[in-house]
Amino acid sequence: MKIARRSLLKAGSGLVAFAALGRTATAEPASDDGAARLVALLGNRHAAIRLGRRHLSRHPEERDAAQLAARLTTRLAPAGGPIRRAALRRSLAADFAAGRVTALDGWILANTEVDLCALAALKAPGTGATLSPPPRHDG
Amino acid sequence: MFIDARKLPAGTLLDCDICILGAGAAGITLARELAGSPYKVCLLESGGFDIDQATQDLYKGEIAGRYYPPLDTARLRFFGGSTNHWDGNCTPLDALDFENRDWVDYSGWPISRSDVDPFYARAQPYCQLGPYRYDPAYWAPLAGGPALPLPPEKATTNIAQLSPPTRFGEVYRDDIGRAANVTAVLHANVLEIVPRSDDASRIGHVRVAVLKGAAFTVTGRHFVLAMGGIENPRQLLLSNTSAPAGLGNQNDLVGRFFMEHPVVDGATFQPSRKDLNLKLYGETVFGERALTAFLQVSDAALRRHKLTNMRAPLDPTTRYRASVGVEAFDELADELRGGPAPMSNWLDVKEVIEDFDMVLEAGARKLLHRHLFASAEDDVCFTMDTMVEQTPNPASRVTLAEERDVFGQRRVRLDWQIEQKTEDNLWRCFEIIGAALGQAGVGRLRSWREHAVRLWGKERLNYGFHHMGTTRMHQNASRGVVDADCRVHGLKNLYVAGSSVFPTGGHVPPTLTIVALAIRLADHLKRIAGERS
Ligand SMILES: Cc1cc2nc3c(=O)[nH]c(=O)nc-3n(C[C@H](O)[C@H](O)[C@H](O)COP(=O)(O)OP(=O)(O)OC[C@H]3O[C@@H](n4cnc5c(N)ncnc54)[C@H](O)[C@@H]3O)c2cc1C
Repeated sequence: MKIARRSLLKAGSGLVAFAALGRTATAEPASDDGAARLVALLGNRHAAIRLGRRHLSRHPEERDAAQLAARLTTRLAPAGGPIRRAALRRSLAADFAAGRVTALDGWILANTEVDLCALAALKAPGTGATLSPPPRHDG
Repeated sequence: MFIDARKLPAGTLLDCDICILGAGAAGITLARELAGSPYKVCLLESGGFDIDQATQDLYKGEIAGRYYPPLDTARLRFFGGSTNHWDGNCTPLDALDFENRDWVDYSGWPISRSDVDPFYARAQPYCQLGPYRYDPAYWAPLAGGPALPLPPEKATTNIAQLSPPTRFGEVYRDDIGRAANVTAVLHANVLEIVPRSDDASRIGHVRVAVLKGAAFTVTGRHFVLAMGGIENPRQLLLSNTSAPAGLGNQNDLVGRFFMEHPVVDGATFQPSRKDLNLKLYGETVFGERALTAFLQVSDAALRRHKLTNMRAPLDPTTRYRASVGVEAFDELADELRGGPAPMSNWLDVKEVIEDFDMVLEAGARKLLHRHLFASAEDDVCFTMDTMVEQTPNPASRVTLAEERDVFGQRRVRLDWQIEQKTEDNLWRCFEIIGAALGQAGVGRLRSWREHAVRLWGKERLNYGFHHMGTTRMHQNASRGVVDADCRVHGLKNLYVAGSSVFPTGGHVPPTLTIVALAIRLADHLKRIAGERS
């Protein structure tokens, strides 16, 4: 069956991006900055930023880097201390097992990794300009 | 023994104990099972040993409603039937497929998987398959890799054995020719199945026409309709001399519930590691046979989430199809066209540059219709061309068209309809398999749900060419055309063989089940023919 040209492009889209995201980084994160350490867990920041931006454009209320970082740290290093890749793997598996799953751009992702992507997007230069203004908190 | 109907003198009358109408997978299996029995068997086949255009033309039909490929290309009308071009993909139906699922209207076979198991085992050699084993653990050592460690409450791996594929007409031709009690009549087009004038509940004879020859008649004690899932209902509807609505159609069920296996390129799987062992999901060749594995939603999850069945094979796809640069280029183009563009330009531009060779490749394929880079064909991820169980739908049906064939018989008309819930079920299944893959830590699934309209449309949807449901099996005559023995309700000696008797089709290509049920029917016929003689 002939596949329309444009659908072929679309069908392939984003896969390599995710390949790098799915493979979490091989080295343990070293930065001192908490958010940067979390973002360093990602294998491919570009891919993560893409997905993160997409998520944030749908959920502008999540555009709070500090809150995201705190949430992730509680999940990944509840007792404090360094954040390890093993903890991320466990958290992802637990999310999937419990159905804490988000479909983002078609990807079936654990909520933890969606948070990581969102954080990566917020930390990336230029994100602010491309997103709609954050929601107002009136009280 | 083979006879050429074109050489029979006018007015010929053939008589037999068991008359089989159609020599495809079902008819040939029946004849071979009955070979050597004390019963005189007559196997009537429309075609010869090779394809012939005039005969194939009899398969032309009208497509109403949803697009379907032309009916004279979707099946073959000569000895061996559509097994002359089948692919040989075989798996038994799941136990759940036979059950009455309260969340699937019209589901439930009057027989269970365990009733069919012994016949599946006997069907394996017919399709030149390996042992009747479909557990991945059994095949993993041969394949050189295990099944993915998926959480069983969500998803499992299942096996498809791949037949060479068996061309039934070639492989069993000599057996049929040698069988002293079997007369196979080629170029014999059954026009009508006619009840006895003294007892309308019994078939007395069939009227047969020949394209370049004289019409003749075959009388018999038992008749088996085995013309395939579209022609079986057509033949019953055409056989209306004594029953104006057609044989077995007293409850307006003949031809209804037509089901296919839509094949939807609906998801991709991205493994988390390049060295993930997926050998079981590739093709493992052993001797002249082969096997492969696929993913499916587990029995437990189908029950819990009240879903219909599906199978997702993993087909490696290329670097080109998976290029992020091509995606970024595409998005930039969207932005330039003023379409929705949530992404920042610099990121897209960067990705286009980083993956520039693949963007060039896309341009070359589009403009020049040729490839530039061999590396574009490197495998990087897996597409899931998913075979989907269709929910049974009485409005999806085969009827008679107004147009007539050269014999003056009304052609067939197919109005294939897929219910929205069939589509919805598939997307939900992908979510479950995606979560299972993530939980197992083996990768991520991307569902193409946002492209649903296109994926289920004429350009992209694929087909199994599996024609099911049109003479469905049910113990209650008001809900099925045939009973659990495949006997047409209300008729004492007319049976149906083939996938038209399937009340539901699971995710499983039908031929192994067709053959298993044909063996089962042959055993039944031997028993009852013996009782009467
Ligand atoms: C391209 C393709 C690929 C497929 N791949 C697979 C696969 O991988 N796995 C799988 O399980 N299935 C597959 N199938 C389906 C498979 O071919 C059918 O399930 C199988 O052939 C059906 O067997 P049957 O005996 O019921 O009907 P058929 O094989 O269609 O045989 C019917 C026979 O009846 C004869 N006939 C019809 N009308 C008359 C008449 N009026 N008088 C006398 N004779 C008549 C025909 O000539 C034919 O020989 C595929 C089909 C196609 C088209």
